[in-house]
Amino acid sequence: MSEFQEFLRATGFSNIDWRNAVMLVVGLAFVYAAISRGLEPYELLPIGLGVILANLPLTGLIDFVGGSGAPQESGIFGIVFHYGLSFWNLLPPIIFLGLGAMTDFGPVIANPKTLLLGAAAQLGIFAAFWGALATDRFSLSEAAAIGIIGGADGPTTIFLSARLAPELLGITAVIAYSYMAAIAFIQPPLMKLLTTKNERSIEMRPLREVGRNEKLIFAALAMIIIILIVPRSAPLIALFMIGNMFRESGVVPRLTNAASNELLNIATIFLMITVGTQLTAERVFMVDTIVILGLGLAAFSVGTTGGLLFAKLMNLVLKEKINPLIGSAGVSAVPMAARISHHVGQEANPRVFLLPHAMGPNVAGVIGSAVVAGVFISLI
Amino acid sequence: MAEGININADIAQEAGILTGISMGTAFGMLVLLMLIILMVAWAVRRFQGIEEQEPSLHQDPGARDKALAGVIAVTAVLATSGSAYYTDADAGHP
Repeated sequence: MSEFQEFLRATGFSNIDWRNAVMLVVGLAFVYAAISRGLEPYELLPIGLGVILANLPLTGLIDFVGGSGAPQESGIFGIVFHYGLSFWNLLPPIIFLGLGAMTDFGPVIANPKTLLLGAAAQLGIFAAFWGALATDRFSLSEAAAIGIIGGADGPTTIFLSARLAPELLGITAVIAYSYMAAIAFIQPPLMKLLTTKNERSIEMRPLREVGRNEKLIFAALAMIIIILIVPRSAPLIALFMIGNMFRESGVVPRLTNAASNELLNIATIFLMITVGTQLTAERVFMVDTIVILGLGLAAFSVGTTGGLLFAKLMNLVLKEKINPLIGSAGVSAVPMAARISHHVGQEANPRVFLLPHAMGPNVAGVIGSAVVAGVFISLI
Repeated sequence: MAEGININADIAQEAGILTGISMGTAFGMLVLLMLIILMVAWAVRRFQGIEEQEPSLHQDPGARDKALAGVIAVTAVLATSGSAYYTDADAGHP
């Protein structure tokens, strides 16, 4: 009988509390949002499943016993978190390799001044950074990890959080991806508030054709120069540009396909589930989480505002005006932010076709946020 | 509300330096990349002898009308499939 009682005490039912139950509902909500609503399914589905797994008691899935501890004591997601993120931080660069293999720098090269819009949109990072410091609840490292949410780049957020504030990794990553999924609701009201209909109706000249040589030379030079200036951005920038050079060279289609398909998908599976497993009830049910939620929204809003207003500023000196809506695409939620710029422009003027133009700041934002992350790592 | 805003002076100074260096580096880097792009474009045109043809907004009314018809058709399809801003194709990479 005592063995049976011991067995009952060792079940998950005996060890679950109400906070775990709430997190199970949160995980199921992410799964629902991904499947039924189609919101960022490649992120929210595995993250939601990770949240569910992390809040089922006594599984040992997220345990990690390093050193001379018995290997069987570590759980699969504990091992993936340790080696993939906190110790070696491998997974985000591998994701960037795949992203680079899928990225076309043509729109950036055809209209290089849109690069500046990618920089302006990074203001959101500093809004959240300073907001976190102002609450007096977070250290400089933690504030930087919270701030990078404003870069609207999942792998960069995960990379920086794993490096500077691993205890916040799950929260910052999930908040970043959640707001990226909700960007279609966050950005349009701001875009309409900060621009006039005439400005939204500005038609932009179609972009010129960009040849393969230009794209290859740009990727190579950009990689070398960025890494020389900010060496700590190398894990992200190098892999991004290598993936892009695979694509643009045209001579290694198998490597390009592997990087943008198998490798990217495998890394996504393990990264996203592991990120979800970091959302344990103990970490989520803290005031800090609510604060970070608010700061994340502020980051996205300020980033959108920064990009829009900088585009309007540029129009004061440019002879050929740019449609300011593309400024909001500097919030580098690729490609959603670019599509939103396009749709809002179409609402104002059906002749406006902004998608290729908005991809410029969209991609520039990826570079900008990786550079900022590199500076944070160098100096903190 | 003012009582909640409380940043240690040393941390504020360090944060200010971080902000300045980060934003300055990001802007400076992207300006540099802009210059590189312009130089590379010039070099490619110069050494490959390619005449750059800048597409004009008003160059070919016929082609432009076809492109516009295509955009309107795509927009109509997107509008009938649900959210104005979301399509299944938006379910992209991480």
